[in-house]
Amino acid sequence: MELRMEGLTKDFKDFRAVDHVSCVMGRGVYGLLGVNGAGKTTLMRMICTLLKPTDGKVTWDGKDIFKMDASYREILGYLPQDFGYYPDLTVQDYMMYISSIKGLRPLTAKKRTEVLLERVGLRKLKKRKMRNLSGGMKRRAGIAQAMLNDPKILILDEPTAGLDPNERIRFRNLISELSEDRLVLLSTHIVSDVEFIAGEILLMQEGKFFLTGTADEIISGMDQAVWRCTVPRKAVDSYLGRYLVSNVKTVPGGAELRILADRPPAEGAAIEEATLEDAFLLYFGEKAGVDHDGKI
Amino acid sequence: MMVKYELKRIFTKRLNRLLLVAVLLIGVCLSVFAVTGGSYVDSSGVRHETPDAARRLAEDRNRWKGELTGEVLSEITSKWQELSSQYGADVPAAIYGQTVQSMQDIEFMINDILRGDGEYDDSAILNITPEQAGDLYAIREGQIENIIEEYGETTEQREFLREVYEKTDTPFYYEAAGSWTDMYTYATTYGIILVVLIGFLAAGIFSDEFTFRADAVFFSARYGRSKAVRGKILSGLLMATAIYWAGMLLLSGISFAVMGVSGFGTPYQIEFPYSIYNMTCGQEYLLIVLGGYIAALLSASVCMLTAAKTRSASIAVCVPFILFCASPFIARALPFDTFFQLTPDQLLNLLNCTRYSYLYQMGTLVFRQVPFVLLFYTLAAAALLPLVHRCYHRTGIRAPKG
Ligand SMILES: Nc1ncnc2c1ncn2[C@@H]1O[C@H](COP(=O)(O)OP(=O)(O)OP(=O)(O)O)[C@@H](O)[C@H]1O
Ligand SMILES: [Mg+2]
Repeated sequence: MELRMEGLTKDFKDFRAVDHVSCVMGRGVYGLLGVNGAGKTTLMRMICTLLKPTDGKVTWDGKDIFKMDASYREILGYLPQDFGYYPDLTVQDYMMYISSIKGLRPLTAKKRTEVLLERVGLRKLKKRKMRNLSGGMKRRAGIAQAMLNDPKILILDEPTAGLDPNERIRFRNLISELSEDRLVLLSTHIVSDVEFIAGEILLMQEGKFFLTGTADEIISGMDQAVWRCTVPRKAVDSYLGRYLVSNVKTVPGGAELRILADRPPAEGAAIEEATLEDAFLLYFGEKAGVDHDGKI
Repeated sequence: MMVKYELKRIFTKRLNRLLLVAVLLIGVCLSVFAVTGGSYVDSSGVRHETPDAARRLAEDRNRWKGELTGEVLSEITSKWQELSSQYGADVPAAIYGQTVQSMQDIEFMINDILRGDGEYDDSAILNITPEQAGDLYAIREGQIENIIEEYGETTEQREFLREVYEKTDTPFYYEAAGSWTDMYTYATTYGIILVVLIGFLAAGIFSDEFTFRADAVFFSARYGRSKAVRGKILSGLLMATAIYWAGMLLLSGISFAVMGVSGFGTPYQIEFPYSIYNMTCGQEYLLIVLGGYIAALLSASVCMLTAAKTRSASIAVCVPFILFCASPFIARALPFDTFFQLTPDQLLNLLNCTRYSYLYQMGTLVFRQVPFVLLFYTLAAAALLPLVHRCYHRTGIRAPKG
């Protein structure tokens, strides 16, 4: 069980979306983190054989996935970022239709559909038309669809986009449950989605993996500390200009800031424990501008 | 299973359902028009336009049922001439109901035989003697010689025509076939409607993935580029078959149940004495329906191919219009005008095709328009299917939204 990428590159005309990515993945959950346009979707589409790489290759247990063709797709489950469905089919029929394309036998398909709809909490809605599902329900149907063939490789492209915080937590747990004994690659730009469930985190920027490791490794690799201090409200702007600030909270008599810096940024600043979100800010901060109340 | 759910997908689409119901309703309306279109005058001169008019008319005309021998033909001719000299153009309704109405089919036929390749003249029957009418088949033979000279451009073609005409049995056997001949136009009209609908539904099969952005899931599934594509093609053909025959059965079922099926075995030559197609009126009807079916299959496969290529249903639905409506105009603009009778719209125009003697020749092989058109477009429809498969199979995928 080994998915290996070697020098994987994709050019769109003169624009390089994925730039010589090499890595090896096995069993477990991989969190692909990156800002908009980092190349996450492009990378995933290549892994799903939907895009031909400009250069480099992807192998599964040593075999080129494009040469494996149907036998590779047999073990693949994919939830695309813009998950499209057939609006007039019921949830059940949709699942059966996808089962048929995935080559499941009718009986197996029925059973898997039952089990998966139960698992994602759509069993009661199975007679409802896809067009009448809420955004969250559609995503759940999307995951269920990807799991139909019990894939060894499960690719989820921003499965939590557009979900409310509760739904997001449920989703996280669901993915965590589903991840046993398979390779799950999950992309997101929301740190908390992967902080606890991903064994390995891949930070992607401008088409490259520039840092990989467990959450702890990434946090401990930070060369700056996290500080908490309270400053007068007037001074907030000047702090925002000078430091990476991961959170601003208004308190009586001023504002409480969470700041990344190698030295205490103000008098009375206290060291805080760093989180993955701080690391994300540190590495992507200047470029992305993390939303200040992005925490859930 | 693939085909089952593919079909389910076609038939659960809201728009598709709406259109399907609309088209079936049109079918019912057309049968109602067909059924109520005829009229019958009874022996006291009262005109009936009730749905049973067609049956009563056929019953009345069937008093002449049987072989139209020389004797019968001269009897009818002299009767007709008598009535004409007695009443001129103003036949009293009662007389019309008692005699004229029943003889009309045969009177038309006599005029038609007499005109040969010329203009139809409804007084031709008045200008021959009943004895001449008794020799009508000999007159026909003479006209056939003219026609062979006229239309047979080469020895092979003349030979071909002669053989065809020899196969027509005379004397003709008469049985009133009004319900069949009336239905030619209705079946043709409804065929066109069905073919357009089928094209529309078929286009959806191959464009929905792109319209609904469901392509990524489809193509990353195990059979998304092989079996599932074949399943789609098969579904398209099944859908075309089911809808076409359901529609035609509806139209024919209602119409013939009411109008009766008298005259299935009447030779087509009673209507068009010089037709080069030896068949009965019932067979002509079936031929028209068959032509429509081939058009439906062609429409389905061309629409599937266009949808798979362009990824858009809206372009694909224009194709049946180009194929079946605009193609004769395009063909006419081209330099080779012999071929404009071979455009696909002819599949939906068989009711006219069988009246004319269009012949084609390749080397020494001579063939007629209708069999060629039927065969050629069946093969064309079949030949397009592998292309659909290839096209979808190789689909690289559209760029993701940024
Ligand atoms: N088909 C394409 N043609 C041209 N450029 C493309 C194409 N697809 C993607 N790109 C570009 O490649 C870059 C990476 O896109 P990609 O969709 O992989 O980013 P992403 O990490 O998934 O972003 P997001 O978080 O917004 O989903 C972007 O700059 C995008 O504009
Ligand atoms: Mg993306």
